[in-house]
Order: sequence, then structure tokens, then C-alpha cells
Amino acid sequence: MSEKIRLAIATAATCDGCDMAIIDIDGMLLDLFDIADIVFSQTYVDTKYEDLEKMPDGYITASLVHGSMRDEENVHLAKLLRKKSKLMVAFGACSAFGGIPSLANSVKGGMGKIWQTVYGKDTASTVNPEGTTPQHKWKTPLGRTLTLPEAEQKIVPMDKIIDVDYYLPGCPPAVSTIKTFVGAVHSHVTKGTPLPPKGAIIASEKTLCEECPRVKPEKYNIKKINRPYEIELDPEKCFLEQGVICLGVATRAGCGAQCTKVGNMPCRGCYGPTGLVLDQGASMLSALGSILDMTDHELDMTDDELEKIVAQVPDPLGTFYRYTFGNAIINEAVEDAEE
Amino acid sequence: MTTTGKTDKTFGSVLVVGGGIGGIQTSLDLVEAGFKVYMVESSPAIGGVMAQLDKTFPTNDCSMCILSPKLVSCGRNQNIEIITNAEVTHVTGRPGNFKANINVYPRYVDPKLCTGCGTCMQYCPVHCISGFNEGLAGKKAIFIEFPQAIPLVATIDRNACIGCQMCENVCLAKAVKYSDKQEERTLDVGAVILAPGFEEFRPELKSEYGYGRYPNVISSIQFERVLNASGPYQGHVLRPSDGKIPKKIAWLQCIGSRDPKAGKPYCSAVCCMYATKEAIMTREHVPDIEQTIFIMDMRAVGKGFEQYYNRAQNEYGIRYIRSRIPEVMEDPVTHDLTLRYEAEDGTEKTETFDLVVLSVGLQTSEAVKKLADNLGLELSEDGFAKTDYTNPLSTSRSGIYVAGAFSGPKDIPETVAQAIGASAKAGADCAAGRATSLVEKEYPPQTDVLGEEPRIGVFICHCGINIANTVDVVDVMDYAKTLPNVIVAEHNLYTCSQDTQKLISKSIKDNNLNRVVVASCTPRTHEPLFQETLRESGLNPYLVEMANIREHCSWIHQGDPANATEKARDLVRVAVAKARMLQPLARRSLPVTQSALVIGGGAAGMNAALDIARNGYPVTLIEKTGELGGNLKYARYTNEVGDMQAYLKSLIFEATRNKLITIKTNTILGDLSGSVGSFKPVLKNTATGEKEEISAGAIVVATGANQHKPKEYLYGEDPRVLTQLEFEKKLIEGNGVKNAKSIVMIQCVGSRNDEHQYCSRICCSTAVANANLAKEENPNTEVYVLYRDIRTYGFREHYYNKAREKGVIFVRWDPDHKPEVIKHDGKLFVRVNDPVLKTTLEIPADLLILSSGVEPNPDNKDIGTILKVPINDEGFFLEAHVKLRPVDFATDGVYLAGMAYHPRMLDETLAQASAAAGRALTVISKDKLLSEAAIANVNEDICDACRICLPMCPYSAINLKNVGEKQVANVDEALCKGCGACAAACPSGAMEQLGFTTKQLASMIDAVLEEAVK
Amino acid sequence: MSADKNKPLIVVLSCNWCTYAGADLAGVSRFQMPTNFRLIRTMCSARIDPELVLKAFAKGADGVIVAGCHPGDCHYISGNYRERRRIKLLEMMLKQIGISPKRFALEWISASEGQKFADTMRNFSAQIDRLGMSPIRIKLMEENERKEVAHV
Repeated sequence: MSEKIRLAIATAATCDGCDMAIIDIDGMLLDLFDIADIVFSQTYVDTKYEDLEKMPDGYITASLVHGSMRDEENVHLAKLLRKKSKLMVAFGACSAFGGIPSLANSVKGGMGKIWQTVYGKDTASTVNPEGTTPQHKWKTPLGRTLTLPEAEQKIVPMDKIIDVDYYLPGCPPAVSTIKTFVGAVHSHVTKGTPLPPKGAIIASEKTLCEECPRVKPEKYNIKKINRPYEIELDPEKCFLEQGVICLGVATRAGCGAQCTKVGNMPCRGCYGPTGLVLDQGASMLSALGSILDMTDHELDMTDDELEKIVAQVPDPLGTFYRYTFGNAIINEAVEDAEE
Repeated sequence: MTTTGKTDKTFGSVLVVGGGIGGIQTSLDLVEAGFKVYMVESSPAIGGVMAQLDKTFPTNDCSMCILSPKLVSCGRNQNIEIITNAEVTHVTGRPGNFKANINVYPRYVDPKLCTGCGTCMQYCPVHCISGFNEGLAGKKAIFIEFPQAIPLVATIDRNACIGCQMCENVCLAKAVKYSDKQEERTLDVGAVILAPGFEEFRPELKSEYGYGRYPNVISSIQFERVLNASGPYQGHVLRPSDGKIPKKIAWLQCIGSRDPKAGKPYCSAVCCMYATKEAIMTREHVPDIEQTIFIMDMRAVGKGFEQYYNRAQNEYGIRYIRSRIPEVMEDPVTHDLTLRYEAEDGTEKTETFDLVVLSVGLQTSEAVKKLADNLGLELSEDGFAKTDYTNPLSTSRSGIYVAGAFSGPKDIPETVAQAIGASAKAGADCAAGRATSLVEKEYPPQTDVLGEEPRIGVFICHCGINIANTVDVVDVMDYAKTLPNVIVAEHNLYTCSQDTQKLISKSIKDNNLNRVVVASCTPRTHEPLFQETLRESGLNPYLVEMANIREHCSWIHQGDPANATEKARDLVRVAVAKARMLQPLARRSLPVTQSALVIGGGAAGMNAALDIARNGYPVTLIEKTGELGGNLKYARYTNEVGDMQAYLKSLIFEATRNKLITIKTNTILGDLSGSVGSFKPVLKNTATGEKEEISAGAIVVATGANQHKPKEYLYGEDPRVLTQLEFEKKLIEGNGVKNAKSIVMIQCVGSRNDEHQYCSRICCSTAVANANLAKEENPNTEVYVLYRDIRTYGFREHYYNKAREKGVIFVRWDPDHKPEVIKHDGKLFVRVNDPVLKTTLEIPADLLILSSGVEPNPDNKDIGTILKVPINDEGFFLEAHVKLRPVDFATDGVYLAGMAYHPRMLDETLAQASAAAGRALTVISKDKLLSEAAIANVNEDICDACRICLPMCPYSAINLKNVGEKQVANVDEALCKGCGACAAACPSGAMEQLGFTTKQLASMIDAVLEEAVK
Repeated sequence: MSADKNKPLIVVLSCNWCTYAGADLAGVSRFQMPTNFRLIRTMCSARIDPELVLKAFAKGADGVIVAGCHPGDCHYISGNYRERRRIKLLEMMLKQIGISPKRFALEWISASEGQKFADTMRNFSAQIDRLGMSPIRIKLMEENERKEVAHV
């Protein structure tokens, strides 16, 4: 048997759901360990950054990084792993597109404003009479200086920091997606089959509708937007036809349509856009806007009426960019001049 | 049609006289049907009255916006020869073989050299009056009347020109030609179509209104120019005396219409609607305006007109006062105008207005009368071309056809329908010569540039001094040379001139260019020219991109050369960015089944089938019932035709004996697949249930309409209550009227009410016809017509006048006081409020005749679903465009005629039937169709049939197809018009619009901003 | 006299049949306008994907106008009805992003409204002048400057 490949499974700003997903591949883990040693991980093995630093460049065969680039530590880790690895894999929506954490970019005023919300008096649930906020450096009473990694001003997907070889989208990546990838690596190592081309996204080229069995209408015309809890969801019918915003039409397939098939819940878009659009959020916005309550009196429609029609979408940015704001054409809020 | 071997040749060309919308439409359809067209226009540019109008009723469409694409199509069509400044002096010969003599008057500018840049107009020192702006603005002695003019060539008005040679000196193209001479030409044509249009009645002839004396009395056509954004006041509604915004405007109707004393007894048919439109549009310009329209009857007879009239009153607060104004008085100091008039209740009123608009009628000009004389045509007593009611497009001379207002006042859609119809009639005469006179150019084979690195040539135009005076052309050229993939950049005095085309061609060859950028003027007029140059140079025509550095740069930034040059550099960079991404596009050739299907065996269906067959193509005519005839079966008599049944018999005879027409009765359309050029209709026999699939290149829908069955006035309860059709039958059969002392007719039964908002158009004329007939039968019978408005539009006014002369009594009622029918001692009485006598009349009725309206055919919905064509909320079919595409559907290859469209008179139905045939012929007279080039394109590897794109397409060009197990979207290349709505909606990026791909547009945006962030 | 490079820049995305023609008419009529707009033509306003508007802002446009035919006038029957919904939604999202709503406009300009085209450009340009450069453009310029410095 040939020498085992060396894997790193690293966490950046993550909820650790991706780790759970890896464990969920069950028996295939054994296949994985047949061919691979985990040489670095904050979760599975006891390794420290200094161990990593000691490895020669290119020592790791592949690094799977989940989590977004939230602070300087995440950025440091990504850069370090890039140096030490032959292949870098953005694992999960956060690493691939910025993920839910990147919605923090939509807060005008950046980290200052976020801390004010989290630690300040803005929120009723915050009890912080001393007004303590996280500090980058803090001197202990004994005179030691403790440091915390400083937050980056903007959360970005990993490929904005370093060169990425493969992407496994999803929040978390579906077990099938991980299995596909592990399988590809396994057969590459054991049989010499070629790996996917660089830059490949380990999912379908098509959109979720390919995998979703729900029945679509002849022609869409959404008369009213409904939140999922507001109506009795028909498990057979396309969500959009029921007025429920489903990002499936603008989201890459590959997850097996678990939410729409099993969960009776609309797609939120965690597999990101297809390869041909510039921007998932704008694509979904355009698609939804195009089919939103076309009336028989368009000629006489007033601006108010039009406003009412679109105002049914409560939070377009959060809805359309739930997982991909960090990767959007405009990926952070700005503060503009008032006239 | 058979011709004996000995006769002369049949020419495949047609002479069209008149370059208005009628002439333009007939020419475009003739060319599509395979004929060469000579279009002779008396003025320097085509466009006619429609080019002068601001908006069009009842949709308030911008007139120039919808017209100008047609102007451009005419101008660029190599098979339409536009001969302007010309008149026809003589025509000899017979149908199929005419010789026409033309006088072409000098324009003193060489159209081959003039680029239409307009510099001469800037420098000409002579100001004269603009006819285009109806005297409200000036123009120069050398002029182009309007910016969209086709041909875009200056003309010198030698009556105004002082011969100073200023224009000659400033014209760098050397186009001014003082020595220009009158020219005579003789044309060989197979048919002649006259569409010379109308002129407005001259309101100065009605001196009591003060037109020409009072500055604030203007004509309705002048007011169109006032409303127009490119008119004399840039779209501000101002009054001529002091330039103030008027607060109160009055429109006086029937100026030169319904006025026997002025020699104009007929109704001009369009004024009620255009005045309403002007009043509505005025409100959009001046929100607090008060508009009053003084009418005799409101004649809102067309599709959507009644609703428009209702909205004018209810939403725009327009006041309609029923009174004919005897005179206008002016305050000499303020120039305000006072109207004294008798209100409907007989009281005398006085009211002052800031502006008075005279709604002038339509008449035939002396020049057109002279044309008729030259051609030996008969005119009617009203001075219009004489036509037969059942042959509305033919003049008194065989082979010479008429379309538009020359055969009677009519609105734009009626004119367009007639124009298309005339093309079908003329086509039948020239069928043997079809396609023999068309010019088809040969091009060198196209170089394959796929996969090649872009090699771009940039050509920058001075446009004489138009661009170069503001933009530093040499600087832009030098800059262009620095851009990626640019191999060569040049500057030219006129990039559009013939010699520059040769230079571009040479540069393409010498430098092995595979993309071209032209920085000059607007692509809307000039792109076809450069595309042509590329084709001639062996390149795909879609490899050229234009940067508009004239209209969008030099002309609008004249005082700022530095920034204008900067902008020109940016625009060139953007064009180069797009050029780098341009891919060759192809217009696909699609096969055509050269036969048609006509649905409906009534007057419209049979005539459409006959017109197609006379052009030499087979037709299948299907009729749902067991016999042909449709509604004509129930008609006995009209004002114009004494014996309708005789006409019907001859029509059925013609249709059944024509070998190219296959008639299938008891047959309906069961299903349909395919698209324009290759439809596969499935016909279903209603008796046997048998189905049969046939092939057809085009489909005509002529499914007619039904008569409304009255639900009121004791109809069906009392045998003395009849509909007009039932009454007509009695009259013709000669029973039952002789004993009637008093006959009462009630109008608008089932029309203009909550159930059917529309006016049924035909009932007033029918009532007048039957009233006259009853009076003839028994002059002692009292005939009462209880009406809301008498809508005997056009020449039908004569029959209304005749009825009044015969003593028919007309009593008006308004919808708040509907007539009531009461039965008293077994006798019928009709109770009605007389607004003039201000009393309630109780009229005995030995016979009560209900003028019941027209209802849509209930089958329309199913037929519409099968054909994928829409019906409107009234249940009639909805045409592609109310004004300019009256017989088209948005779906290509399916056409509409007769009452399936809306209530029509027979002559109108026949014109429409010919029109539907004419449009069908533009498809089936070819053996192949060409798709658009910049159409939508599906990436089948990405598409997963999410269906978002399906409702985007107004032309139903997108469907789903199976690829293996999966479905994907599929674009029907024959139907796609290339708008790109589907591409923008597509959430996966699978749908793209060729020529406007997301990548191309994104690269342009990148290029626009590239310098700004440095 | 040299070109003013720091003037706000406006991107106009327009349909071919109405607004582009209206702009042509404004040119023919020699209506003078500020120089700082650049027009990109599509066939129908319905082709103007919100992605493109975002792209323009992301690349530093100080203002963006999407323009097409008036309701009812669309050359392709109903394209502008689709477009106006997308644009309204996009306006909501731009607001969330923080781009001043005054930087973005949807305009209906017909082929005969040369005057309206000119007025629109004048007014919009004045409005953008008052706002100054977009924060995104300022950031991009700073980044480019840093790159330049680093390069030197």
C-alpha cells in the first residue's frame, strides 16, 4: 500500500456544523482513514499552530477549511495552510461564499455597530452594566498582556484571501457531497483517477429544481408572498407557486433537495449560485421580481401599488444573500452621504 | 388565375402612392410577400400625418415612437425605392402590366452625398414657416422637417432660398446642388396602391370661429404639435398670444364635418376620439387644466374607445357639452375667447376660455383630386375615392387599389388594415411576377473568426464638423490605439460615406481585422450600413459595435470640448470592450409550409381564404357549423347594399368553386403544435369526432361574434318586441310593417352598459337603415329612434341625414333615464325623458325594435388557449398592437379578422379579411423564414426548466423540451424577438440573449468605470 | 482646458426603442447636458438585469439610471412591467446596502422626449453632484492609489 495522504480539517469562523457533517459520512470515514492521516485539526486531533508551522511547505496533501474569514486569526490560518498544503478546499458555505456570518457585512458602521448591538444597550436581552466590550489587548491585574485576534472589517470567503482549489458548498455540505469528494480523493489515491479540475465546485452545474420533485405551475405569477408559517404548505407543489420564497431556482443543486423534499421547507440557497451568474442574490431578486403579481391593469398601476407589491419581500438582502453576501458583487454595506 | 400565353409580362413590382402610415405598411407587406415597391411621396420625407401626431388614442402611445421603426425599415429596405418630392402624372396598361409616369421635383441636395448631418440648417440665414409644425414654429430654407425623417436628406425650399450659398460652403460632403432639375421617370408595375391620405379641413373657411384672426384659436393638428415634446413649445402647453399656460381649453367638434353648408355633410370619424385624447394628454401636461369638448354626438365606436371616453369623463374630469357652437368672440385685450351657446336644455350660456381648439375634419386635398384625375378615377360626391361597399379596397379602375383616408375618413388601425389588405389585392394581380423583381445581394463567404484572438479596427468619424468641432477626434484615435486588441484606428471625414466603406473594407482585408468599432452617430440609423460593409468584406455583420459620439456626445456637450473628448474616449473604450466579446450571429433559416388555415366560414373567413387563394396558395377553411355564411346568413339589408343574401350567395359560390380552397364544415381546431411557418393544426370534426393533422404556414382567426339576446324591454315576452335583425327580415319579406302606425327603436340594448362597456358600432347604422326602409314601405308610419349618441360615423352620416329628412324622429336619452316599456290595455308604450322638451314622452309602439349589440364568440377562450393568443377582458381577441398591428397577434403567424376582433361593419370586415390574408401571405409566400439574430439562447447544460422564463416572453417563444430524461427551456427561433427579458429573469444564467450577453454587458460596465476609479 | 476626472460619473442603462431614441432626439435638438453620463444600450429595459446595476455601483458608478419605454409603450409589449418590479425590489436592497436612493433612478423616456432626456440628465447630474462621489468609488480610488504607491 502506498503512503497515506495527509489531511488537515481546519476551522475558521464556524458553527462547527461542518464537523458534524464530516462525522455524518459514517462508514466512509473508515475509507477515509484508510488513505489519509489527519495531520492537523482543531477538532479531531490534538495539534497546535506551532505544529503546523513546523511542517514543511506543501507537506499537507489537502486542507479542508470550514468557516468564514472573520478575524485575523482566520486569515492567518488560511494563509498558513495554503503554504503548507498542496490543495486548499473551501468546505461549506461560510468558507466558499462567506456564509451567514457574512451578513454581518450588511451592518452599516461595521464592527463598532455590531459590538454596540451585542454588548451595548441597544438590545433588551443584553445585561452588561459595566459596558464591557471585547478588547484586542488587555492587561491583566498581574501585568500580563493578553491579546485576542482582531476582527476584520469585512467577512469574505476564503478565496478572497488565498487561492482555493476546490469548493464544497452547503450549510453544511450534504453528506452526499462530502462522500463524492472523499470518494474522488480516495480513487485518485488508490487508482490514480484524475481529480476534478481546479476551481471545481463539488456539486451539480444545474439548479436545485433539478433535484426537487415538486410540481411547477404552467406559468408563474405570484399573487402574494407568504412566510412558511403563514400558510399550510402543500408538500407536492412548488414553493414559489405557493408564494413562499424558495431560492432553489437560483441555487446550485447537489444537496439532494433535502429541505424541499424531506423538510417541506423552501431552499435558502446554501449551495450558492450556479457558475454562470454574477451574483446569487441579484439573480434571485430578478427572478422573483419578474414573476411578482403581474396584474391585468399594468397600464394604470400607480407607484404606491407597485411599492406594495414589492414590499411583501420583507428583507431582500437577508433573503436573497442569506449565505452568499460575502461573495456578492457588493459585499458590504456602505455609508453614503446624505444630500 | 390563369393567363393566356400571349399576354404581356406580369410585373413583380407595385407602385405605392403616399408615404404615410398606409403607404409604409402596404410597402413593407408587399416586399415581404415578394414584390418590389416604388413608393412615391409628394413631400421630401415619408411619415405623413402620423409623424406629426403627439400621442395616439386610445392607448396614448407615443406616435413617433411606434412609427419611426417602420420609417427606418422602409428606408433600409433595398426592395423599397422611396421617390420623394414626386407625383404620378399618368398610368396606362392593365392589371399586372402598368406603366406609370412620375414627375420628380428637384430637392437641390444630392441624396447620395447628403449625410443628413444638419450643418447647413445651422448656417442657413433664412427663416421660413415649418409646415410640419403647422406654422407654429420656423425652419430654415434648407431643412430636414423632423429628426427621424426618411430619407434623412436636406431639401432646399427654393421659394424661400435667397441663393446665398452659405449651405453650399459649409457642406463638407458637397451635397448641395443648386442646378438640380426636375426629372421624369417611367415605372413598370403590376399594380398601383393609392394611399395619399387626407388633408385637414381649412378652419379659416368657417370665419365665425376666428381662426387666423384670433391667435388663441388653433386647429387640432396644431394642438398636436403643441403637445409634442419635439414640437414648437417643447411639449409645454402654451397659448400662442402670450405664451401663458392656459387654464381653460375648449374643443369645438365637427369643424368641417357634419356640415352640409360647408360642403362637408359627412362625419370625419376620428375627431371625437382625437379631441378626447388631446384633452386627456393636456391634463398630463397641465394638471389643473379645465377641458371642455363641445360635441353633437360622441362617436366612440372603436375598440376600447367607449372605455377611453368614460375615463376621460370620470378620471380626467373632461366636460362634454352637447352643443354646436355658433361663433367664437375674442376679447381684443386679453385675447381670451368667449363662447355663447345653447345648452341641451335650451338655455343660453356664455363661457370664456383661454384657448379654443377647432377639431377639424378630414378632406381630400386638391393635389390628391388631381392625382385621381390623372389616373382617371371616380370620386364620390364627398370628394373621396369611390369604392364599393363589398369591395372596399378597389377603385373604379381595375388594378388600382386604395387604402386609408383617401377612400373615406378613418383612424390609423383602419388605415393600416386597409393598407395590408391592399397589398394582398395587388399581390393577386402580380402573383405571376412574384419574387421576379426582388433584389438579392450576393456576399462573399464569411470568414470563420471563432476562437480567433480579436483584431479590432476602430473608425472614428468627424461627421464633417459635427463631431470634430467638439471632440478631439485625433486624440480619441490615438487613445483607441492603446486599447487591448485594437490593431488599427483611423479617423474619417464621414465614416458613413461610400468611399469610407471602401476604406473600411480595405482595412479589414489589409489588417486581417475580425472586429470593427465605428465611433460616429446613432446605431439606430447607421448600424445596418456598417453591418452591410462587414458582410461585403466577408465578415459576419454582427461583429461591428458602434460608439455614439455625436448624438450622445458632441452635439450635447458643445461648450465643453475637453470633457466631451474624455467622454468620447470612454465611449470608444466601452465599444472596444464589447467588440472583444462579440461573436458571430446567424439568422437561422426556418422552413415554411406554403399554405394557410382559416378558422371561421363567415364573411371574414371566406374573403381571407379567397385573397390567399387568389395569390396562388392553398387554404383550408374550417367552419364550426354545417354551412358557410356566419352572421351574414341573418343580414338582409344595409344602407349600402340592398340585397345582402345575393352578396352572400356569390361569395359562397366564389369560395366553393376556388380549387385552392378546401372547405371543411362541422370542423373546429382541436389542437395545435409548431409555430410560424410550420404550424401543425389538428382539425376535429364535430359530427364524427374524427381528428386530422394538417400543415399550415399561417393561421387566420375569423371566428366572428354573436348577436346579443336582449334581456329587457319585454323581449321574448311580447311578439311585438323584435331585434333589428328580426325586424329587418320582416321588412324585406314585406310583412307586418304596413299596419304599424308607430315604430319605436331603442338603441344600445346590451351595449355601453355595465355588462358590455363597449359600443357595438353597427347598431346606429342598422337602425337608420331599417328606419329608412320602414319609412319607404309606409311613409305614414311614425318611426322613433331613442338613442344615446347617433354614431353614424363617416359616410354613414348621409343615411342619418336622409332619415331625418324622411321624418324619422330621434329622441336622446341618457343612462340615468333609460326608456321604459309599459303595457297598457294590451298596447305597448315607451316612456322616455326628452331632454330638449324637458318632458317625459309616452310613445305608443305597435312595434318595438331593440338595437341589440354584438357579443364576443364564447368559443374565443378555447381557441385562444389552443393558439396561445390572448383575449381582452371583453372576450374579443387582443391584437398585437392597437394602432399599427390591428390584425396581428403577438404570436407570429396567427392573424385576426372580422368581428372576432371587435364589432365591425361589413366593409371594415372585408378590409380586415384582406389584411389578415396579406399578413399570412408575408409568411407563406416564402419558402423559408429568417429568425432574428440577437435572440435568446439556452445553455442546456445549466438549464433545469425552472420555468421562470416562460411568462417573460410576450411572444410565447419559450417552451419546454425533453433532453433525455430531463426537461430544458427551448427558444422557438421563429418567434423570439430578442428583447432579453428572459435572460435577465433567468436565475441560473442558462438563458442568454445573443449580442447582449451578461458577459458582454458586464464588460461594458467594467470599461465605463475603468478610468473613473484611477 | 482639461477634462475633469474627479467629476461624478453616471451610468445610464437604456432600452433601444424609447430612451435611446429620446437621447438621440436630444442630441439632434442640441440640448446641452452635463458630460458625465455614459449610456449603455440594450434592446429592452427588461434585459437590464439588477446584477448589472449592482455591478455598476460596485465598479464605482456615482449614479445609475435605468430607462425604458413608458408603461404601455414597450416595443416588446410588456418588458417594462417586469423591469419595474425588479427595479423596485432592487431599490429596497440598495437601501439596505446603504447606497443613497438618490443615486439610482428608473425613468421612462419616450422616443419623442428629447427634452425629458436632457432634463433628466441635468437634474440627476446635479443631484449626484450634491451627493459627491459614491463611497464605493472613493474606496476603489484609495485602493488603486495604494496599489500605485506600492508599485512605485
